[in-house]
Amino acid sequence: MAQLTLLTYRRGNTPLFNLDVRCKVICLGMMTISGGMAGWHGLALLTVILGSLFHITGLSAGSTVRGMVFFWILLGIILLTRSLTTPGEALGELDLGMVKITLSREGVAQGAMICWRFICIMLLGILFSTTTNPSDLKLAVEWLVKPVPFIPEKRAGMMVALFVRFLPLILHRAKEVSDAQGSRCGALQKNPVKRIVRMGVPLMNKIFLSADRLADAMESRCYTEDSTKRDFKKSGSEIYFYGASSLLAAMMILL
Amino acid sequence: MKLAINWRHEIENGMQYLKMLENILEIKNLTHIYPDTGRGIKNISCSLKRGEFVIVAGGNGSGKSTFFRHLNGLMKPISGQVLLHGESINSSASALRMARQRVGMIFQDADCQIVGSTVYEDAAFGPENLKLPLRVIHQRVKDVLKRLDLWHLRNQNPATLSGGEKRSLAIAGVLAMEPEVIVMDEPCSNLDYPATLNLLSCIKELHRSGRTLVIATHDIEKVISMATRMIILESGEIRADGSPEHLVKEVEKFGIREPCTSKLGMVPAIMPWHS
Ligand SMILES: Nc1ncnc2c1ncn2[C@@H]1O[C@H](COP(=O)(O)OP(=O)(O)OP(=O)(O)O)[C@@H](O)[C@H]1O
Ligand SMILES: [Mg+2]
Repeated sequence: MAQLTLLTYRRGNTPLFNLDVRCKVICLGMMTISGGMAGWHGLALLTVILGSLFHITGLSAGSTVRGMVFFWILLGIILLTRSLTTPGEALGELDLGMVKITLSREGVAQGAMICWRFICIMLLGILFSTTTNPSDLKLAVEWLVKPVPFIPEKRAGMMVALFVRFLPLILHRAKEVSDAQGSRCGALQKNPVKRIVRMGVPLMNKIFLSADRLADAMESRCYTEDSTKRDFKKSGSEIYFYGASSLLAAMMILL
Repeated sequence: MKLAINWRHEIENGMQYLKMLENILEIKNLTHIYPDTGRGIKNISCSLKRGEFVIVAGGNGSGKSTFFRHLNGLMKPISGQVLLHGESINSSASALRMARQRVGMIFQDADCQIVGSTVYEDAAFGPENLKLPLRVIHQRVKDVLKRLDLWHLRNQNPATLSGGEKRSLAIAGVLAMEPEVIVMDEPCSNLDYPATLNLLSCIKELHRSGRTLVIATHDIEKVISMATRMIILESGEIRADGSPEHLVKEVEKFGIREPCTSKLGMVPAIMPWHS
């Protein structure tokens, strides 16, 4: 059985789950933009609201934090480089003989702010993807891409839906390959390039094979791009969400 | 008055009988050789009648899967043709589409044939592609999911289903398109005992409801008691085609295990697997 990732949809019955997906996309857009522009107070406000939405939705903080390991590493790197490369009042110095590295107060502040923004945006994304049924996601992609010329919206929607569907399977396959190699002492190979090639080639093979089979299965079930169209489902509370997110966005930018 | 009704009844019966005799699928001199290995299927001819339950038996690499992929036009033959109700399935795009709807295909690997991201959506995928109205789609999906005991899982992510449930979902996805012929490639592989029993009763039910079934397997024991006909493939060619009772003693020549009941000389030689 493939494990579920942090981003996979979980069924629920709270207001966010039932919201019209177009409303969710618009609110998500507003929050992302204003989150990107917000200062400390604005970010604090957004964090409080996100925290309560997570709570209402029933997502546990622990598993969310644990599921984002790579993200934390990335944030650590951002914070470190920012702190070390921004000039300003020195907080500490590291003398490595030839080079002197200074940790600046401005750098730490800037880095922290950037990381906080990233965290907020990531949490928004998690909230969106865990509460959005993949078929609604497909509709949303079609709806968003429709005005863009030269991009076939149905195909884009199907691609996103299939990607979401296959993410757990790809991760599962990756684990299988790494376990199979681990059990034959693959860990003894210390050259990282060789390790990546050894891991990547069979994994890619497997993924392509699965993709082939998937294509066959879709063809067998008469796949066509103009299949029956589904409707957007409205919950009736969209208007409140529009209002609340406009207010929140304005406050975040102004604070 | 009564006489007239009886007449009507007789005619209907007769029509049904005629329909039973009608060939749904006709396969004529089908040949497909893979260029890189030189193997494949050679000169296969047979015809399938409505309501038949056919086992296509053969060892690994005997060409079962290759044969099946021609039945709904996933592969184009090098020579020969497949006729559905007398019309070649590769003659036009609409004929091909028709073939894909009428001949439901269930593959060996259940994981890769689930397309939807929830159980409900996967079952709805086929009917949506047939451009049926939403109401009809919902009705059909509800019917098949209930029939296969998957309705309570309808909002679940298919990745979280067990192997047996995945196989059931693959069947549900095909049934929702209301096919006449159901083709299954190794349906019992990877299933435990209860899941196999479940699948067998589902297969039996499908056959009873009048569908034509074609099942590929190298382990004939589980399905042979239900079958009405057996085709044996070896090296891509048909080596035998006849009733299971006649062929059961010969299968070991072709790399297929003879069922226990027959091996032990029991009478009758073919019995339901779980008895
Ligand atoms: N894509 C391919 N390219 C080249 N040769 C192939 C390909 N697919 C199958 N073959 C060869 O064709 C022959 C028939 O394969 P096929 O998959 O139809 O057998 P099968 O009866 O389904 O076997 P199994 O019981 O293992 O599923 C095999 O000898 C195989 O090596
Ligand atoms: Mg096969």
